[in-house]
Amino acid sequence: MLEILDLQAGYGENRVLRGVCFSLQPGQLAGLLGANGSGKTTLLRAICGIVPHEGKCLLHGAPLDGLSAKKLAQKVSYVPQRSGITIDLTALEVVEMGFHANLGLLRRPSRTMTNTAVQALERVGIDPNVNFLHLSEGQKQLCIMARTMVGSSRLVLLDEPESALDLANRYEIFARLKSWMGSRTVLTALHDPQLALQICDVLVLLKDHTVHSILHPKTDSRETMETALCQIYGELRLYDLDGTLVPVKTPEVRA
Amino acid sequence: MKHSMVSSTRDKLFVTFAAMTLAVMAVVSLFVGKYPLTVQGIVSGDPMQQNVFLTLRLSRTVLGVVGGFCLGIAGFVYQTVFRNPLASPDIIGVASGASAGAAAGILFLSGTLWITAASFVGALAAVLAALALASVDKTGRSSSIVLSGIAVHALAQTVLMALKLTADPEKELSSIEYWIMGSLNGVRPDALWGNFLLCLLCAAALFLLHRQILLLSAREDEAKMLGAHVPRLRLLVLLTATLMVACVISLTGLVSFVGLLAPHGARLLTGRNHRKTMLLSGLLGSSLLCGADILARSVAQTELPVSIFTSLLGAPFLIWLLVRRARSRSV
Amino acid sequence: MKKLLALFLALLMLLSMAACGKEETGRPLEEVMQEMTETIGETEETAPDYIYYPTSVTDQAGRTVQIQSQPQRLVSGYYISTSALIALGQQDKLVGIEAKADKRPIYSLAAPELIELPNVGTAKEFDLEGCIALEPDLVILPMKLKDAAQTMEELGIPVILVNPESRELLDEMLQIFGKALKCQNMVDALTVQMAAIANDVQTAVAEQEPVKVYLAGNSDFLSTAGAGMYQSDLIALAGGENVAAGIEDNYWVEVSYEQVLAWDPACIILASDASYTVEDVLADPALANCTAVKNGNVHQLPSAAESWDSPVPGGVLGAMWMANVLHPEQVDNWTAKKAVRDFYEAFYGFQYPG
Repeated sequence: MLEILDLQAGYGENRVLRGVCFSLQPGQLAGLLGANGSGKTTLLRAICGIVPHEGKCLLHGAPLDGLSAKKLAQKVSYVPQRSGITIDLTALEVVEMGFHANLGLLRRPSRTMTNTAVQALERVGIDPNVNFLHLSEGQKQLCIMARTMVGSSRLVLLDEPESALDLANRYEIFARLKSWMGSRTVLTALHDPQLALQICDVLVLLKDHTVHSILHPKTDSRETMETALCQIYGELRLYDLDGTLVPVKTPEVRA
Repeated sequence: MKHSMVSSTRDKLFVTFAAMTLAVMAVVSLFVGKYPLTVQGIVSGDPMQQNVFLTLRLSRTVLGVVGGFCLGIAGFVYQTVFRNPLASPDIIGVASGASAGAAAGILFLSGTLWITAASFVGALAAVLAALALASVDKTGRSSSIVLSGIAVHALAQTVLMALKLTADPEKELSSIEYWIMGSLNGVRPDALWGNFLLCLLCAAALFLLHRQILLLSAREDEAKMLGAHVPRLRLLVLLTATLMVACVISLTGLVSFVGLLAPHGARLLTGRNHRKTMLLSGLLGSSLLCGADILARSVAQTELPVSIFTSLLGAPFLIWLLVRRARSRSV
Repeated sequence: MKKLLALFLALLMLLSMAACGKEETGRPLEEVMQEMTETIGETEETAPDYIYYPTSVTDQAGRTVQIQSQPQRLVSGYYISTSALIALGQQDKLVGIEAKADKRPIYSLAAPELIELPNVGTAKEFDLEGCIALEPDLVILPMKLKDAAQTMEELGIPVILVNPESRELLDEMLQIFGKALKCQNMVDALTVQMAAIANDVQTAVAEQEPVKVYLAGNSDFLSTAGAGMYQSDLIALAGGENVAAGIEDNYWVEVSYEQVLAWDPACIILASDASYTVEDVLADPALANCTAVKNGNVHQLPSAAESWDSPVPGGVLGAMWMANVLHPEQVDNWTAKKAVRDFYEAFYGFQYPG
């Protein structure tokens, strides 16, 4: 389980996040929502230790701060919004990078590992031998997802993965994620509240540099959620369409 | 329609072909030179023939092969780690440091061995200075290394210019200029073997670290989250590659183009960056340097700098590869 | 006094040659003596300065240089011309010389006061303003400094450009000095002596088989002089054959060990200012099988006073020394040493060391 205690993070003098506290249970898929610039990416990066921060992040009781890159990678996966691969590599080679945290300096991925990687790629529908750079943005994202899925991490952090994916793929990828995650904890920043409402077990809403509210779409009332979401996104209505909650933004009425 | 980029048979073919080309070059190199050598002469036990063959011809050929190989591999590493297809050993100041060191050696020390040692020290000093300067930026971005490399390069050039000014135009200046142009001439066999051993160890290490080298080509935070301690890993990889380059250029002077062309060529041919590509990079480098040296010592009555020929041979090859690539893309 | 001594020695030289029965290019001795006396008589500069000057000379760049009066303040920007000026007894007129004079032993031996003179830089970095500040009335510069010469001419300072890159050109330069500085008699004494020495050497080795010589340059062993260079000329004069004569280039060239071994010189000579030593060459494993090294026949051109591998007036002594090395029977130690001592005694006023 993931516990974030009084997290402060930010670049330089401006604290992007103050006093962030929440916790997630194993097996929960949590969505991180907030307006642009509310600190979603900063929060994820702070948990990873990429951004300097104060406060505590504990995974199953053990602190994540101060761990070596390797140890951290064994526990936490971070999937950035865009992949930074710039040279010609096969999709398989990219996925095999996911084994790095579990390999010694001079070791190469074993046959079993390679097979795992190939299967992961097949599950997301990508040919292992294709050039990663020739893939579309969405396919690259699927590939990076496959990379995460071959790792050993217990906590998976995703930064707005749906921005590059088409409508079908968005749901597709989260369906795969859910079927794979088991008792892992997944925290994903999302900018589409509709997707969030459908797939997430927990929603963490960020506003004014801190956690505004925590929602449970399965159990909270429509009204509670609508109020909370209005705080983040401005005027909107939550419509219940055959059990699916659909947020619709209402235009601001000018006086 | 995305076709598979992997064709191991095709890549194996390239590697084999490159190895064969290299073998041919090496043999030609063994039998081209100003001293008339014949197979009968060597085999029959003529001491002069054997001596020239072993101490001069053979060591020069081996230098061309090993030196070119190491430069090719180093180029591959630099271009990958810096994500820059135009990277070469000078991106972090190795070449200019070596030149400044050699100039100091020519001016203040005497003897080829000492000049070799001085240029080696100069090369390493430049790289360590660049890395130390880059470490001031705690985030360890690769752009910091590039920037400090530029700074160190400028500094080394200043030192070089100052040394050239104090050099005696009748003696030392031409030696310095000739060294900078690069030549496999006049290399003392006794200087070679220690150097080679170090080079080959470094090359072996880099092959073993190939996976890490590819990892370093990703963005820093991405590589970090995959478990790599990027600054340490980059330091290890760069130092190994640089040590290798320093070994080679302290013996040969600045050989231009090999470290740039060979990895490029290998990448354009295979379309990938795997181990075979790295090997191909080394083999192309060997062939290029060996071939260029054959020309440098036989085209004119005197010894010409080898860099003239590395560029002369390399440029058309690169142009051909680019045209070939453009054609295949436009299909 | 110097001038008389020089003439005396020149005559002695000719007489001793006659005495040994060696002919100077086959002409009868009387005829040569007659010509000498006539030459001396004709060029005796008795004409006073105000009639002799203004005069003009054509320098080695083909420029016509007007000289209004007897130059009293000379600047020489080239070590060869400076050395020549000392030999011609003009050193007292020098107010500025080339840089790095302290590195050349000839100055401390022959004219130590010159070392204190302000220097006008080298051919690469010529101190134009410094030179002008010395208020010279005649400046002598190497051909490379054409532009500086132009500038100074425009300021009214006469400049003679010289290019003494061979024995012929050195002679030509000396003739120019003779005319410009009204010291033709000294020039004659010097040139005659130089010619005599060259002649001696030539005749001594005339019948001998030329010895194969490899001349190793200053910067490193593998740089050598092609056929077009002064050093090659020197070797030929001394009864040697420059193994690199097939190389036409007019400057130092780089060759390989293999090339040297293929040539297999019988004698290796290091240039005077080589940055390595004879021991280094003898110990070089790559040269172990070369004839010259096997026989220990590796020598360095002496530079106790001057570098004899450049066309300074005493440069022809380099040929004498080399002939002694290559053909010790024909030119023995004593003769060679004496020629050197006499020359420097007469023209530079010091005892040659060693």
